[in-house]
Amino acid sequence: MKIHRLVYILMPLVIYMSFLWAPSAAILGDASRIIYYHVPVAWVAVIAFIVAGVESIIIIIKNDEQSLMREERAYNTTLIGLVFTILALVTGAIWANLSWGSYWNWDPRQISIVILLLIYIAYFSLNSALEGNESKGKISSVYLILAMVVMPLFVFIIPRVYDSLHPDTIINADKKMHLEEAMKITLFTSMGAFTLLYIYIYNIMNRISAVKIKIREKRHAL
Amino acid sequence: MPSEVMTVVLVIWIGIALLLYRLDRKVSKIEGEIDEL
Amino acid sequence: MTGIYKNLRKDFLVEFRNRSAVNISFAFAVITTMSISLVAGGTSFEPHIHAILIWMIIFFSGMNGLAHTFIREEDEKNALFLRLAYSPEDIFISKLLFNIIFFTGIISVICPLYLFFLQARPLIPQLFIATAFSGGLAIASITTILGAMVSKAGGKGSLFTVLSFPLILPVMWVSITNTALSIEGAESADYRNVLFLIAFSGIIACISYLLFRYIWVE
Repeated sequence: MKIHRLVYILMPLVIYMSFLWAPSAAILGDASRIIYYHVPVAWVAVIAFIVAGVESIIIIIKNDEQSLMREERAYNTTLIGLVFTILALVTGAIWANLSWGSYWNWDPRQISIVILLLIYIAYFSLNSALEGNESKGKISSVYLILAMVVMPLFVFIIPRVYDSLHPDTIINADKKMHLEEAMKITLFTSMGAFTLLYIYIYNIMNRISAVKIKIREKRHAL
Repeated sequence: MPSEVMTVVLVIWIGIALLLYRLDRKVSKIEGEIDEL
Repeated sequence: MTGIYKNLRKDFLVEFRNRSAVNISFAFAVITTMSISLVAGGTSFEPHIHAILIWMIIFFSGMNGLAHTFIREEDEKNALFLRLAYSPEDIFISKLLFNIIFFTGIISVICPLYLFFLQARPLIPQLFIATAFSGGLAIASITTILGAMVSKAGGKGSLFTVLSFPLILPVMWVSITNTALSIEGAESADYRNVLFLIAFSGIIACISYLLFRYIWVE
């Protein structure tokens, strides 16, 4: 079940593929290679936040002793999501600079990502303000569920409704992808590699949380 | 140009990979010890 | 239904007797509008400057007034009684309605005041009104659920602002853009943004309704 350890092989493969194997894109040239990092990173952020929301729903439905561990898991995945959102913002800005000459363009998509960032930063403020409160888990979970529901609005809908400089995303109007074969393969492999990376980091963070909880329990038992 | 960026990315990845590997090993060790306590 | 109605009535009565939230919001709105018009002294602004100013005033009036709904319950130790007497859903709907009515009232005062004193005339008045109300609806929906969360967290002022800011920001952005369009009467102005705001309010209100009891009940 240690499939996530595959990332040790997959990631170097992706690095090789993204830089040397895949061809340069038509107009942008070599700068287009950033797509193999920007898209997967954004994708992982979305996945992380959905996992946070789902975990929170479970916390609310099943209110049992496992809730504490689940809250830790929701916290961990939100933290990963936050880091990857920042990475998506940065890689997006780099790409923007390479394509249109400036890092920040008041583009709806760039603004949406910033709003997403703020929404999840607010989660951490909420969490620390609720420290010691017995309703902390429930209230944080409600917030994460609300954020998960609102997130698609920002990631998928706003950029489509408002004209954007951002190039067509994977799920675009044609339902087709305008990429060459080799680029498609590289992109999907990269998304797979980053997903494995997410699972790996999440797994480690959760194990650390589990150990922390166990230590706390043993101390109480003494 | 690609090769410099690629080297940087490779170095970053090796750093991350080493970190993850060390963490993995350490957490496994602690998990083993804590069950004995 | 009667539970909702009774709660609503009680909130309005308390507000009329106490008048703290209404007073603060209106005072803020009036003072800011007057200050701006004094300083502007007759120079005309671009439509989007007007839009920004109007929504800044609306936003800060809202921040001052809307958080009170739940925090006041905690302060007056009313919260426990409410929990026992009424179902969470009833309480939520009554608070939401109160916030909507309250905020709509404030916007109905701010907008004419501003337009009169700064001599701005929206060329598409229907769009202006629609944007003002739908934006207000969105802000009221957001602040209701977040106000409930913050009241459980001790209700200190800055937490509420930090939490509501990321969600209100897009509402503001859309509202300001649309208000600017309605003032300058551009042809591209349509009701798409209004629909977005109403849909946004609807989504937030629905999710809040479903989840409110988990915040409210211990």
